[in-house]
Amino acid sequence: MAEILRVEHLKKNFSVPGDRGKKRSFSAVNDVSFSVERGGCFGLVGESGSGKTTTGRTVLRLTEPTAGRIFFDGTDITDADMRPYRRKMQIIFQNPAGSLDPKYQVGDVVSEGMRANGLYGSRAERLRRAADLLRQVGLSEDDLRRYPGEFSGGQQQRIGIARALAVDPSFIVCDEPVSALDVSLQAQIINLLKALQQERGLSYLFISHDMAVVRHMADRIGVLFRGCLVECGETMEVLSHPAHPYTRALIAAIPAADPDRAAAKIHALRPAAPAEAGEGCAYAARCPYAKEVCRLERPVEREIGPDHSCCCHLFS
Amino acid sequence: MNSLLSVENLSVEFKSGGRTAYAVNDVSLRLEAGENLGIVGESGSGKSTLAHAVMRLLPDSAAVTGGRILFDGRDLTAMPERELRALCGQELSMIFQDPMQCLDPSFSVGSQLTETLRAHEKITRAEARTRAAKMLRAVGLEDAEKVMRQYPFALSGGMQQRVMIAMALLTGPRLLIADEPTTALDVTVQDQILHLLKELTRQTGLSVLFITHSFGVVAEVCDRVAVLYGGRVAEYGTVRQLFANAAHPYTQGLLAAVPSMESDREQPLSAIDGTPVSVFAQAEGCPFAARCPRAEERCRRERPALHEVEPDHFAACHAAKAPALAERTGEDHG
Repeated sequence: MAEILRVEHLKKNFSVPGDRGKKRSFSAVNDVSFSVERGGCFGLVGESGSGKTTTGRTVLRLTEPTAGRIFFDGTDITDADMRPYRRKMQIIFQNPAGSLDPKYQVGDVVSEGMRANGLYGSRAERLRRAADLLRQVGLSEDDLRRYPGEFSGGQQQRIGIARALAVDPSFIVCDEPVSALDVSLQAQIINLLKALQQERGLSYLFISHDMAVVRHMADRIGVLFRGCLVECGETMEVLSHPAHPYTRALIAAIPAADPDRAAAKIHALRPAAPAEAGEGCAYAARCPYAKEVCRLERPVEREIGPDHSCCCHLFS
Repeated sequence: MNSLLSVENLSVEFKSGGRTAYAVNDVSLRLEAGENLGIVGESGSGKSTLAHAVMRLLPDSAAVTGGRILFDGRDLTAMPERELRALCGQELSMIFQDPMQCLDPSFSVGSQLTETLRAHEKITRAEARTRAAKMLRAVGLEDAEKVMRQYPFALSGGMQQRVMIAMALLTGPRLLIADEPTTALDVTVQDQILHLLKELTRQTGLSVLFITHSFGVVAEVCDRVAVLYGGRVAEYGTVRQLFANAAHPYTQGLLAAVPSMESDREQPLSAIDGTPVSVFAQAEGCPFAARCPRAEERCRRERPALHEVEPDHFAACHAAKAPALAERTGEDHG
């Protein structure tokens, strides 16, 4: 199997304020396993608080995992010194403005990673290389001496992409790269990311709350709910035969963008109960099919088809 | 018969650091009673400024420089402040993207709801509580008594949004202005809130002016839609007309740029080139000309007026001239 990244039983707990000034542990990512194929794009979808971003950051060890193992290119990097890997593993953030230093010229923003990694001898050479990258992401050489604040949101995201590419990575975590952008700019960035992936053989972990965007980008997807990977598999297989009740609810809730189908839609009217993390399935409190066992016992992941697995008692 | 809301040639300008931002330019719109009108646009299109102008909630740096806003025939822009405050909250209400912008964190939900009612009507505290609880149930918060005792921060985002909707509807307004009310919500919660708004309009005859950047949301709740670009109306028509037969290249581009659950994954998305027009520039010609695939010399020189391309369907584009031509561009597009 040509995997570039494999994650096994990843867990991340955060300590949050609890009752009477005590701390309690909050499980942001709970026993998540998946892999990203070389040259492929693995999409992670889920709602806010589902643990998507934490998973992405933990995979890069920007956040340290509580438990589980991370393999990059066949090597266990869970406890490794990350310096040699930073070049190979990059990230593109959701908020382009917030992730670019406003006091750095674009040329320095883009070439900083090269300098830190001791690439391309001189500053002049690095800036030449940065100019190449800017052209590749649809900006121009003249932009080298401008400041991030002079650019629009879409252009800032292009700078963020150029910066990630500067150290010639093989794997990039794209954390909601288009969510903060206007509709007319989202398509530009999605097309750019896809073209770069093909040209450079990049592998992506693509994080988004937008199912249609993930469908367009990813060849395999995983659906996260409250830190648990409830369904995982080949994109079209999962989307055309969604198994987990949560995946089905998520797909049903997408606005139809078609007045006729919108009129025919069936809606869940009741607000979801803010579920307590109990012993059983995380989705049990919201699940219309929940049985006794769902509240008592955590379901385990099962293969339900070729490259399609689901974590639900209905399929045991 | 007066329209419920009629915006006539409205212009709003902001003064910012010695520069002038032309946020809304010569916008005219109508909303009939019992109808839902969607205003679609990107950031900087003027959609929120328009909504705030109707409620006279513009900041001091902004001013209405032309036109008027009629609510059931009464001019809101010229109305004395006192009269306007009585009207707003009573017949006109607004909900926002962030419920915490509207809910006070230091008062319980119940006291905020009853205070709203008692500010507009002479009723006892007990009566107000009963009506508040009833409204909370109407927006899907079954355990109304418990919610009334809670403080806003103890509620989930979806529940906060429901409380804000309940507060806006307490006095039985005829028009609700909804400024991106579901943008910050998860998709399953968004679906519930949209459905709730649709049900409420059906049951009570409420009209909604729905500000959004999403055509999907418009398709769910609106009857008519106006697409704003650069502070101007680019296209205006029924939701069906715009989805089936968009006449303005910007509308066509927006509709095509969004990936759907049916689109071809192998094909690149058809992106709109360039970046949105600056609010500081007042272009001589069409504001979309710089990004338009069909722009000609004339488009850069002469600003197109909003004209009828088919009954009840208007576009501000030189290329979308006659109904026959609009049909042809629709085919090109699809």
